[in-house]
Amino acid sequence: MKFIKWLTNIDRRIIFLLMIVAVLVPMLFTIPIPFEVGEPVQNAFNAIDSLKPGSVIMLSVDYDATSYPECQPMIVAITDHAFRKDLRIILLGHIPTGLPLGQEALERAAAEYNQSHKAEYKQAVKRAGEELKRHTAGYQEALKSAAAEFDQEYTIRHQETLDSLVSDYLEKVDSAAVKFQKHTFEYWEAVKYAGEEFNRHAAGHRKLLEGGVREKDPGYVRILKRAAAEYDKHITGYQNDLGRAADQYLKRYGIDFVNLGYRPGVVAIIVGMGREIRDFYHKDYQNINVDSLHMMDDVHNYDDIATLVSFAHGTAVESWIAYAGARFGQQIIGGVTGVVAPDLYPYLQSGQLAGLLGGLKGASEYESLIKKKGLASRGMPAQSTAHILVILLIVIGSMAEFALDLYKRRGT
Amino acid sequence: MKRTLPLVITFLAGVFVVVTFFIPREPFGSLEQRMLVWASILGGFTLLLGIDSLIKHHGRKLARGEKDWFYSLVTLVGLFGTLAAGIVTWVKYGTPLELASLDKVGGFFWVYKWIMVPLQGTMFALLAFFIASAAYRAFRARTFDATLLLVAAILVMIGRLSMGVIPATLVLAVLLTAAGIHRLLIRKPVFGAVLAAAGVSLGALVLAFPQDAIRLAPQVQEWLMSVPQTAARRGILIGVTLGTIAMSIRIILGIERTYISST
Amino acid sequence: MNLPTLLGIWIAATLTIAILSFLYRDNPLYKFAEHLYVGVSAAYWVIFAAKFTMQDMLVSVFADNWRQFLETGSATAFWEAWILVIPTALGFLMLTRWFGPKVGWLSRWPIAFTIGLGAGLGITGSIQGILLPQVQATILPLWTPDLWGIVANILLFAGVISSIIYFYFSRPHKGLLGGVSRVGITFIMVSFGAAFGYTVMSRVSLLIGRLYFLVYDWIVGTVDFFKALL
Repeated sequence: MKFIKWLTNIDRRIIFLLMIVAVLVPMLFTIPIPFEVGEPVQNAFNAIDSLKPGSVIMLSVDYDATSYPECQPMIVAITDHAFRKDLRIILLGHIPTGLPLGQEALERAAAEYNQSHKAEYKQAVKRAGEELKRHTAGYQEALKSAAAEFDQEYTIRHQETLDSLVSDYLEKVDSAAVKFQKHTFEYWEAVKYAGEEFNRHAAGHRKLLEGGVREKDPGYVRILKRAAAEYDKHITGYQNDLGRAADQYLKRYGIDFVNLGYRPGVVAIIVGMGREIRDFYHKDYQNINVDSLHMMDDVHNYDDIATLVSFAHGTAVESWIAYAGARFGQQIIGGVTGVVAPDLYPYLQSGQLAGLLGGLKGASEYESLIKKKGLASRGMPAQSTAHILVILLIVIGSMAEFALDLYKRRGT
Repeated sequence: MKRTLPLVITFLAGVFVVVTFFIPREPFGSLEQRMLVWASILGGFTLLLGIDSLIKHHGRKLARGEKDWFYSLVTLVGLFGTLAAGIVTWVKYGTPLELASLDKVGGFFWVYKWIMVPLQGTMFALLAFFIASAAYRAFRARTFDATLLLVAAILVMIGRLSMGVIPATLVLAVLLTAAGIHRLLIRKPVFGAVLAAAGVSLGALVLAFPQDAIRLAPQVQEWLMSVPQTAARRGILIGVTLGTIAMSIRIILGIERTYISST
Repeated sequence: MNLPTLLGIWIAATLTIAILSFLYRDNPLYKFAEHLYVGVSAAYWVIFAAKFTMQDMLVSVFADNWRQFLETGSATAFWEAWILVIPTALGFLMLTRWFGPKVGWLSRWPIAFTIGLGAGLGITGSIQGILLPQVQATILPLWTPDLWGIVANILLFAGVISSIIYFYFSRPHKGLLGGVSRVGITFIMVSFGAAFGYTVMSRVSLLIGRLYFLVYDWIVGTVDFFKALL
C-alpha cells in the first residue's frame, strides 16, 4: 500500500525527467519509420499537386515561434513541393512575430532549389555564351574579309570594339553568377543591367560605324547593316536563352515568389483582398512597389490565386474559411497545430477545407508524400515515445487510484 | 460626445458593412474597401497601445530601485536594444526584416532568430511537462464519461504513433480490464463486466492480429476525428456562431457597450 | 557557419535552458529570460507597427500619390494622398489612451469604428461562412452505397443535434430532453478526449523542437564549427 501511496504522490519533477528522457533518447538514433498517409493530408497534397505550372498559391503565416516545431516543417514541405511543381508563391501573414519564420522557410527553399539546379543553370548559361561566341566569330571573319575587300581599315577597329563589348558582356554575366549565387533577384538584376548596358554601347558603336563609312561606300554599308542586324538577332537570342535558363532552373524573388509582409486587422485584410491585394499591400516587405514585382502583374485578388494555405495555431484558418472561402470561393488548405486541428474537422467534412495537415504527424505525412525527410519525420520517433509515456502515466495513475479506492472501501 | 457618438459610429459602420455585403455595387464596394484599409491601419496603431504602460511600469521600478529592479532593467534593455537593432537594420537595408543571406542575417532578424524564437518556443514547450503531469494526476477513469474521454484520448494518441502501436494498445487493454475489475469489486457488475470484457478482447485481438492492429490504428483515429468528434465539434460550433451573430447585432444596435466603458 | 551564428546559437541555447530550468523551480535565470522576452517582443510590435503600418500603409502611399499628383496633376492622386489624414488622425486618437482617462475617451471613436466594422463583417461572415454550410453539411442522405457511410451520416446527424441540445437548452434536462442530452454528453466526451490527445501531441512536438535544437544545432553544431576550424 505504501508503494501505491508513494506512486500517487510522486514528485512531479520525476515525471518531468521521464518526459525529457522519452523525447531525448529516440532523437539520438535515426529510426526508419513507414508512414501511412491520412486522407486530410493526402487531399491537401493532391490539391497542390494537381495545380498547373505557373499557378499562384498564397501562403499565410498565421503561427509564430510557439508552434514552430509543428508548422515550420509544413511550410518548408509545401514550399518545396510548390517550387518543384513550378508554382508561384505569395507569402503574407497575420501574426507579426511569425512572419520571419515564413520568410526564412521560403528563402531557404528557393536557395536550396537554386543550389540543386546550379549545375544545369551554369551549363545552360555556358551553352548560350558559346553559341553567341560561335556566331559572332563567324561574323567577325565575314566583316574582316568584307573590310579588306572594300579597303576599310578604319571600321575594322570599330567592329573589334563591338566584339570586345560582347566578350565583356559575357564576362559580366559570368561574374554576376559568382557574386550573387544566393540572391538570385539581384543576380538577375545585374544580368539585366549588363544586357541593357551592352545594348546601349553596341547601338552607339553601330551609329559611329555607319557614320564613318556612309560617304565612302554604299555596298560596304549594306554589308555592315546586314551584319549588325544578324548581330542583334544573336544577342537577343542570347538574352532570351539566359532568361529561359533562369526561368527553368532558378527561383527568383519577384518572379517566382514574393513576400508581402504583415498587415494588421485579420478579417479586414481577408475581405479586402477579395477586391484588390494592392489596396492593402502597396509595398512588399522590403519596400519594393508591388506593381513593379513582375509576378504580381496578373495577380489582383482571389480569382488569381489557385490555393491558399494557412499555417496557423489559432483561429486564422476559420477566418479564411468564413470570409475568403465563403464570400470569394477561395480554395483553402489548413496546416495547423495539433491543438487547432480538431476544431477544423467540421470544415473538412463540409468541404470548406480542401485538406488539412494536423500537427507533427500531419507534417511528416506530407514530407513522406514529397519524398523528402525533414524536421517532422525526424521528430516522429520522439513523438511516439512521448505519447506512449503519457499513455503509461494515465494508466498507472488510474490503476493506483483504483487500488487506493478499494483499500479505502475495505477500511470502512 | 463621450458615449453617444461612439455608439453612432459603431451603428453606421456595422450597418454599412452589412448593406455592402448585399449590394456590393459602387459606390458601396470601394467605400467599404477604404474602410477596411483604415481598419487595418488602426490595427497597426493598436500594436503600440501597451508599450507606454510597459515602459512606465519598468521605468518606475528601476528609478525607485524597487525590489527586482534588475529584471525591469532586463526588460528595458531588451526593449530598447531590439528597437535599436530594428532601426539600424532598417536604415542599412531598407527593411528591418533583412535576411541578407542565409547565414549572414540582419541585426533585427538575428535578435528574432536567436532570442525571440527560443524564448517564445521554450515557454510553450514547458506545457509538454505540465500536460504529462496533469495526465498522471488528474486523468482518472472514475465514471462512464471519464472513461469514454480517456479511451478516446488514448485511441487518438495511439493513432498518431509511428511506432509502438502494439505495446500502447496493450496498455490500453490493461487499463480497461483493471477498470472493469475495479467496478466488479465495488459491485457495479454490468458496467464492470462490459469494461473487463472489452479490455480482455482488445488485448487478445491485438496479440492475435498485430499487423492489422498497426494498420487499423490510424484509421480508427481518423474515424473518431471525422465522425463523433466532428459531430460534437459542429454542435458547439453552430451554437457559438449563433452567439457571435447575436452579439454582433447587439453591438451594432448599441445594446452591448462594454467596449466603450472599458476606457 | 559563421561567428555571429555560433554566438546566436549559444545565446539561444542558454535562454532555452534558462526557461527549462523553471521545471526544477522558479529561479533568477528563468526570471531573467522571462523579462527579456517581454522587452524584446514589445520592441517587435513597435518595429512592425512602424514598418508595416506607418511606412507601408501611410507614408509610402502618401508619397507615391503625392509624387504622381506633382507629375501629372491628377486630382485622384491628390485626393488619395490627403484622405490618409483621416485614418492617421483616428490612429492618433487611439493613442490618446497613453495619456490617461482625461483624454483617453477619445480613443472610443476609432475603437467604435473598428468594432462596428468587425460586428458587421461578423454577422454576414458567420451566417454565410459558418452557419449555413455547417448546417447544410449535416443534412446528409441516410442511404449511401456502403454501410460505414450510413453509420457515419446517422452518427453525425445525431451527434450534432444532441450536442446542441446538451449545450444550449437551459431547461432542466429531463425526459426526452434528458435522454438526448445524455447522448450529447457521450459525443462531447469523445470530442474532448480527442482534443486532449491532439493537445498532448502538440505540446510534445514543441518540446521535441527545443530539444532537437539543443542536441543538433547547439551541441553538434558547435562541434562541427570547431572541427571545421581545425
